[in-house]
Amino acid sequence: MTLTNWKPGSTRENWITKRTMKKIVFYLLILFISGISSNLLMAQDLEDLLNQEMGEEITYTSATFKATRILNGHSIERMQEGQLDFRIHHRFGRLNSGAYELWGLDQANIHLSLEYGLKDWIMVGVGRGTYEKTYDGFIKVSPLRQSSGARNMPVSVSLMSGMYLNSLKWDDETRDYIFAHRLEFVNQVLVARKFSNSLSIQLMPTHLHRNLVVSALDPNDLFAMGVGGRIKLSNRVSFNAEYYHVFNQQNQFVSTPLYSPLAIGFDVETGGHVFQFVFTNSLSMTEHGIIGNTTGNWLDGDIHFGFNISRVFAVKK
Amino acid sequence: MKKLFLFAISCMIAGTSLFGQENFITKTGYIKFYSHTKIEDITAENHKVGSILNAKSGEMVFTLLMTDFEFEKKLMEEHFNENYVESEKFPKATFKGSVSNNETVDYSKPGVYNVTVKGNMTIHGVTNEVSAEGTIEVLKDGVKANSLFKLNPEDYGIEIPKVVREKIANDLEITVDMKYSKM
Repeated sequence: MTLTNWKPGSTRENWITKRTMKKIVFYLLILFISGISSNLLMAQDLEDLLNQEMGEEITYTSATFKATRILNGHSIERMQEGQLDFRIHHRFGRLNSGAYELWGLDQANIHLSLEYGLKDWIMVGVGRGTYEKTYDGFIKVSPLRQSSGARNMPVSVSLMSGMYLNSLKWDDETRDYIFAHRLEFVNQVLVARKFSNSLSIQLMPTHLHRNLVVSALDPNDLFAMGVGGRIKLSNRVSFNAEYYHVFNQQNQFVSTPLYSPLAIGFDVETGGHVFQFVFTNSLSMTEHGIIGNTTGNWLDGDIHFGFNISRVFAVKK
Repeated sequence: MKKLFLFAISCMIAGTSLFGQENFITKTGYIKFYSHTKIEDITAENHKVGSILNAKSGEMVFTLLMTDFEFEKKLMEEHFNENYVESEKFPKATFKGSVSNNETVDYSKPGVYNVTVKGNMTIHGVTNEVSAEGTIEVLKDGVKANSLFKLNPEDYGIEIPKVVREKIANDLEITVDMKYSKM
């Protein structure tokens, strides 16, 4: 380069040193600046650098409800993988039955069930209840979980599907009943949002199909809209309420009037147990009976006191 | 001019990559806590601990999500997050500190070095100054850091109700196992 720029008359050596010096200084300057800039990058707070590297994570909302039931019906919660829940649900007789019945305590209705989490998003359960000597089974899956952070999902959604078998002896042995007449089915979409640590609200549109109904005027399919929620009173105690509005409940000519089920109560959690204390106008503890056959009227004092006990075992480690 | 520009760029890249090699990082560090009482042993493990170690200054930072701790009993995990550490309010635990005898560690020579790490630990929104003994093992392709120390949850404002007081140890044993690679 220098050779081509050489002009006759100027001293060649002098010219080279001057130009080269300038260049060297210039290059050194660049080296210096780039060095500083890379040092600046280095000096960036390690904590910021780590947070940047880790990125934003998805934070899933947990414990929208303490148990897999709000009170009578299902909540969006599932048993997680490998966890077995032994549930004892119990309802006494009606509070307005008087001193002779000790306000209902003499009567006992029970529902026992074993429920298991196959995966974190799917659980199954089987049970047996006093009401109609019911054998039942259900499956619950959770396609959506409320989350924040890298993925924002405002609600959790679970789908519950249950089957109920009435094992009572038929009233009228002369009629031609078939096995299918014993079955009822419930499908529910459960949508819940945990608004804050203390408040969760759930909506549950519900469909009940009965293969056999009391009279020809009774609908085989019932539709209901449920709403439930909980307010935490402390870390271990919450107040819960649950109501299903049944749209086409009954034909009004039947002898026993039917009502929409309402339950209020408390969750009390102690280590591995969750206790639920319930006041409700329904005797049944499974969805088909709650929605299809609630005969109590709150205003008349047809209220059943009861409790649910949940004991969870870690089966799979 | 073009040559000059290229030179400047390459200087900067060379500069950053040279200096950058001083940082070691992991996003899959392991921290376990263990509580031992006569009634019950409780173990929780977190495999998603993030950490950076600066070899030159000995600075160390750790971050983890409380919800990433896995318990054998899922109900216990839920109670841990909801009632004890209040993960929704305080999602992260962090540590910011440094290896106080960093000059004794030769990061260019594979071997095991005993170190003391001092700094500030933040859990449940409460910050405490802590110090822990451990080792730094320099490998050909990275650095391993291990430590075992005790931690009292009540120092971090984590309330343990009387009902379960007997089941949870006063001092939890914390195991730290990090495998860093060059950043």
